[in-house]
Amino acid sequence: MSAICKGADVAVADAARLAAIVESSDDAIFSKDLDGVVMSWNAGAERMFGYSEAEMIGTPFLRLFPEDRVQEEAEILAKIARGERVGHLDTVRVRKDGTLVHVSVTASPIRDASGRVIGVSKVARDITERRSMEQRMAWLASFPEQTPNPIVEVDEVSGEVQYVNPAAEGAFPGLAELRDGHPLLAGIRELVSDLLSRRADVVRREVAVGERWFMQTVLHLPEEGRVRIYSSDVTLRREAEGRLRLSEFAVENAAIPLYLVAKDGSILRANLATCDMLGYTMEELCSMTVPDVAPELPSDAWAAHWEELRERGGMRLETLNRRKDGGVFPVEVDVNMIEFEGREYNFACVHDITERRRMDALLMGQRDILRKVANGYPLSGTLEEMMLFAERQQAGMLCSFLFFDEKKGTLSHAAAPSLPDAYSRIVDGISIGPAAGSCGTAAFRREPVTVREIATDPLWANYREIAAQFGLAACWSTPVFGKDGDLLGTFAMYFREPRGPDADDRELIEIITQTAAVAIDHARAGEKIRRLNASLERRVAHRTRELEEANQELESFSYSVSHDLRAPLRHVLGYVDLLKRAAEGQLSEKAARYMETIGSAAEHMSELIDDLLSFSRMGRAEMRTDAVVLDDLVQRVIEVFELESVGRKIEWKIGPLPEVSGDAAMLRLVFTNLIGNAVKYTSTREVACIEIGCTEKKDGQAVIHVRDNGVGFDMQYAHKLFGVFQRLHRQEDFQGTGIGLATVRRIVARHGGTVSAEGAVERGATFSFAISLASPIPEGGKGMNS
Amino acid sequence: MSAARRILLAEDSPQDAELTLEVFKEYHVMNVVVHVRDGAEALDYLHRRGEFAGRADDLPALVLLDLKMPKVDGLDVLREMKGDPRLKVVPVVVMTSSGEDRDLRRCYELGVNAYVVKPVKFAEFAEAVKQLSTFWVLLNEPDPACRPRNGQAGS
Repeated sequence: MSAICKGADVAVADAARLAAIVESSDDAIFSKDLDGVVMSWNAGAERMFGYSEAEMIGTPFLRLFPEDRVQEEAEILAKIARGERVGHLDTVRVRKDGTLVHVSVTASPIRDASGRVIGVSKVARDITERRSMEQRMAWLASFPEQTPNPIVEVDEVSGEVQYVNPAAEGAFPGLAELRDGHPLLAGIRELVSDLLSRRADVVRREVAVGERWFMQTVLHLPEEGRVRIYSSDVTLRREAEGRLRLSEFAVENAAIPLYLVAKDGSILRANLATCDMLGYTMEELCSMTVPDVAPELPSDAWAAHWEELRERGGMRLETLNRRKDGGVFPVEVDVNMIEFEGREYNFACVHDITERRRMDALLMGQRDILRKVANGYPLSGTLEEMMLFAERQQAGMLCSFLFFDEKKGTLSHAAAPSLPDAYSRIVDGISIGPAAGSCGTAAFRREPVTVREIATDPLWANYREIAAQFGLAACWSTPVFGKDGDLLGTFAMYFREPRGPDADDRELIEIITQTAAVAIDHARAGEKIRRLNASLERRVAHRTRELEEANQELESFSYSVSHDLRAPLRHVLGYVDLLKRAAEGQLSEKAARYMETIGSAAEHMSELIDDLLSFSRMGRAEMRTDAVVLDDLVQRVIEVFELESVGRKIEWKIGPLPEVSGDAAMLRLVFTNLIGNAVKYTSTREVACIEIGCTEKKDGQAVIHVRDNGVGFDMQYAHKLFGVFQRLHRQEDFQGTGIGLATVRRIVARHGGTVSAEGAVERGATFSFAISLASPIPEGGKGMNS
Repeated sequence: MSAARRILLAEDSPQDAELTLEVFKEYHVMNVVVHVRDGAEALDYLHRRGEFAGRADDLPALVLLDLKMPKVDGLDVLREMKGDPRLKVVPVVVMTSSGEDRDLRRCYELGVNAYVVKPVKFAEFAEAVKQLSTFWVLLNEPDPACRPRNGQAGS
């Protein structure tokens, strides 16, 4: 402990009091001489810096300075030396343990009695705590300044903008000037008065600024008289939410029933269409499971069903659903397995296929009936099946079909498999009329008649009791028209309860009446064809008989000709010969020539008859078709002519000839005639040249020609060549009957070919004919024909 | 061979018959030619009935048969002859104007021994008749039943 002595008693007392204050102070109070050597050191200094009084007295204070602040001591000492005071210098010193301590230093000069500065008194206050407080304040103050979210404060009364953080400044320039004219602050004062009236401090709202949306927390600060508005941009969130809400809305209102199912089969979500379809409320549905509404999928089968779905990822299945009212109906379900945030769900679209099933059944039934119609199933059976089919579509319905007889103006029984027979017998033959029950009236009006209640309908006045007797309460009848528009009959549906038709009934009636019309039209057309066919067959049979008779007559005619015409000729020739012998030497030359002429005329007539018979035979004879080797056939024909034309010079050119399909005897006659002509008409040539060849082979046909260098013919008469008894040469030039080429044409025609001729006067002739080639014969079989 | 063996000529046409007989005469055929004018007469002769009831019990060496004849035609005569155990051994040559396949077939089916179409030219006709009679009467050996019986020949 030390004291500053003043040398006076009063001063001593003051000094003692001062010393006590110094000792008890929390501040470090110490003194140094102008060289910086410590002269006094209180307890506060000891606590603050860790050095004891003994350690410090007489030592330089400089060791308490951090290295970077060493120059501070010189500056302080210089100031003090000049008699100046250093006040509240915030600085840092080093404790004995080496740690730093933040201090606020005040230094005052110590003067001696003469007023000369002899030292320095210093008070150091530990400001570590104050400093950290200040830092915290600065840190806190940085929050509104650095947040990316706009913060604005306005005066609660004037609405004047008091504070705008940098984020708000950047995002909303001109905010201060616009005040609540800016959309960010729109209605802010009203909001505040509302807050005040509710004694509330905070309210949240969302405001739109241009394209963007901000979520605001409006905080009333009554002490400040201000309102603070925190805003955050929620545009993206709002957009996402909007999209979500739209999908939600879409799912909710989708026309297709949809539901989302959890692994345990519970229905998590359904839409309004599902509710409509099943008759449950959304709440009810969402507390149910799929097995509750799908009778074909009981709870104990659910797990297996789920596994199958998982494996396949999705599937379409037809099953049944049950409505709240217990009604069961067919559905087609498209199920997808989906995974969302690690969980599996299945998402099902359900289609009620009741209508499709009904239409399928109707069309299948119609198709079956039409198939029967097409296969010629009897009409009565078809109509009966049609009635039964219609009855299957609607429980409790009894159907009937009546034919319309136009001549009599009545309806007759056609098919009514389920109506009592006695009733059908009564109806059979009823006359149509303006009030003749349902069918009679429908036929009369030519339009459908729907009687919902027979008991009261005036159309049934005359038949009411009969209907009642058979328990028939309603009857709808539809006329059926053929494709020509004529009335074919009526189709009726009877019921044992009064009722009228609904859309399904009308559809069924449409299908049945159309099908019935087709069936009846078809049956009538078939009958007409059968009648026509029968008459055609009768006519064909008649014609055939006529032809057969004509053929027979022709045959007996030919037979007679061959017998009876030749006999007198033979007699003429015979007796001419006998006469010549008997009158030998007595006849004049002239008479002898007459005799010769009689003989040769008779011979020519005999040839004519032979050729004519042959020609006629070629038309009638049965053809025996074989493979014919033309090379051989032609060779044999030529041999005959060579014998007959001894002394003549004939050059034969015979090309390779094919094997053809035909009657060998007939073809032989063809070549005999053609080659015979060639030999005959080349008789005036010194060297006759006859060529036989095959010019063309295609499409299974060969064209054979016989060419000569004979007298030929004028092409303008070519068409006459093939006619019977047609000749282009005089008898005295070339003998002939004019039947040979007609026979050739007939034979070739019977072989399915054609014959043609080409020639010029004195320049030869070529006759060609086409004939089918023999179908290829296996190697082994070929030898048989050669 | 006995010169007395007969030839039966069944021919309804007097001209054909005359011409045929002329040929026989010309070639000096020794056999007796019996001419009948239809099938009925031919059968009467063969069965020795009617106007032939009393004739000798022998068979002709050859029958020359026309096909187209009144009453009973040549086919009927042929059918009856070839169906008769006694007559079927007699050679029958059909001589006719017809060369129709139909007639040929029927005759051969019934067992005819030869079929000749009468040539129109007389010279050919004469040659045919001559060759026929030469072959069937002179060259051909008949069935033993047709041989003339001793003592009756030439009666």
